[in-house]
Amino acid sequence: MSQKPNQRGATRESIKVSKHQWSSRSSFSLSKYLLQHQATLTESFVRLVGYPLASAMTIMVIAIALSLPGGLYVLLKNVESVTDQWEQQSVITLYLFSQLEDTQALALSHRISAQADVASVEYISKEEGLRYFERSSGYEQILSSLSENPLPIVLRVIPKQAVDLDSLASLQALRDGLASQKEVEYAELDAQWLQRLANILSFGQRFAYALSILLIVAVLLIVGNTIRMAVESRRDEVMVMKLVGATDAYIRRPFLYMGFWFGVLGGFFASLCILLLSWWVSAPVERLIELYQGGFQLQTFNADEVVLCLTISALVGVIGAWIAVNRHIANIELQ
Amino acid sequence: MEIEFQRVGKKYDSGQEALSQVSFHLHEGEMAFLTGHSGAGKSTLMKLMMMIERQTSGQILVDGVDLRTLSRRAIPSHRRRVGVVFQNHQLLLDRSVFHNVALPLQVSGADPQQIGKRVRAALDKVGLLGKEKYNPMALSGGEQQRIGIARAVVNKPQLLLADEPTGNLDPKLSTEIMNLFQEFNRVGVTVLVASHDLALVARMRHRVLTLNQGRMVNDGGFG
Repeated sequence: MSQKPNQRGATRESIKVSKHQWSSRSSFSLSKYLLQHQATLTESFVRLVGYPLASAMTIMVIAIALSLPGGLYVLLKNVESVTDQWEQQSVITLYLFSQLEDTQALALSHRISAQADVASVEYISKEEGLRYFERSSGYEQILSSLSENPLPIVLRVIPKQAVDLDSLASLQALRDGLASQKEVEYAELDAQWLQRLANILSFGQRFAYALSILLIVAVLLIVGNTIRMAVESRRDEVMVMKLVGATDAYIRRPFLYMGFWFGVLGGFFASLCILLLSWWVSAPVERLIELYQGGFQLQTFNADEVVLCLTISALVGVIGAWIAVNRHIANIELQ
Repeated sequence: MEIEFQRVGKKYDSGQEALSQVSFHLHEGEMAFLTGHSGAGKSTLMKLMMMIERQTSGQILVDGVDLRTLSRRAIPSHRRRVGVVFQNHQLLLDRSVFHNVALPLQVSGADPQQIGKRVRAALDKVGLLGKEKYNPMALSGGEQQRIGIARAVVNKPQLLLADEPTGNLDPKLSTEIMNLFQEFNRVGVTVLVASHDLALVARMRHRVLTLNQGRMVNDGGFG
């Protein structure tokens, strides 16, 4: 037919074309690939900045959502560090009957310190107790107005066993044994409220986990929704890209990076929030702790935790974007 | 690229039968027109070739490969071998002419230096070399259509499909656009142009495929 004459030339040309395509494909290199990713990373950041108000709002919502579990984490960290100090100090305090003589009390003290499960006994006489009380509380005036010393002799019994959740039962048995001594009016095991604290702490931890999960899901949804709108607003672009042979991965990439930026920036501002908040409360907290004579230093996010926060938030951002993009890219088809 | 349709049918989910028992063979380096009334199935036929839609019966062979055997993941590399031009240009108005034309190259991960060279070569071919920095909106309808053509050929496709490329253009511009397609065909690209402008098609003196209500009613002649 009439096409015959140019068909031969045509074949030669198309071989050249396909060869060319082959060579451009085989020149694929890692550095080129990374360069492309870097370009997309920058481009998606520029896009974010292009809509400053919308982006800032999304980022701040993420930051607030993340600073809640982050703040709770810091709070728990501080409570734990306080309880760590208390654990070592745990003792059984014996309040003896006030009419008891010093000699009887001393005899009891020796008897108890001879027990196999007791490490040491500290004897606090009525006078020592009074001096200690005066020094630490500031009730000097009231105390001096009393005609006689109202304080009992106190024995501080240090058990051999360190107190933890496992040893608690045997320590309670020890306390009960000591309480049954006729000289003892009342025996108190510090560990008891330590146990309570431990329970509160583990409750707090679980609460923090649950809250973290909920808020991370919230961040996923926020990022997902924002990315969904971004995909929607670039519908034409996605359509044309599909038309000219873009892979799903290629179309996905800028949106994933967008999610990454939302996550990282959200995490950054959440960390900033927590650091500022800790700084803000540090003065009153340290004054409060000073009152209780604790050598306590308020803890906040350290560098590792900031990095962890950023990593988690970046990951959540990318995952949220992934879910949204996958759902919506498939829906965009050419008409 | 060689295209062969063997008793191809396409029935949409709505029950509408867009194509039925369509058979034809487009040889490598051939140029042909596809005509028919609107709704005759021209666009559906193009979509099947682009794998935008899948046929419900029959076989489509591209260079001997049955398109049904290609997975979803293989679609992008298939589309990179095919250039398409639409009536409504499908240009992105938030970027320059250059970046519109560069899109197929960027998508296939071409070298940035290569992209510059090839985009300019494609713009040169369609006569828009000086306008690469313009926004498509700033250009006329005929020029916009040429951007679309430059974008379709920038990747050196083996098959060029055009769906009503001259729909909104006056006869003079239409002829220019058709001549452009003819030039690409002359260097070996297989070209299929869907058009209902029968007078123009007749003047071009190429093979004409005519669809009527989803059936191939004429194959050959010059329209």
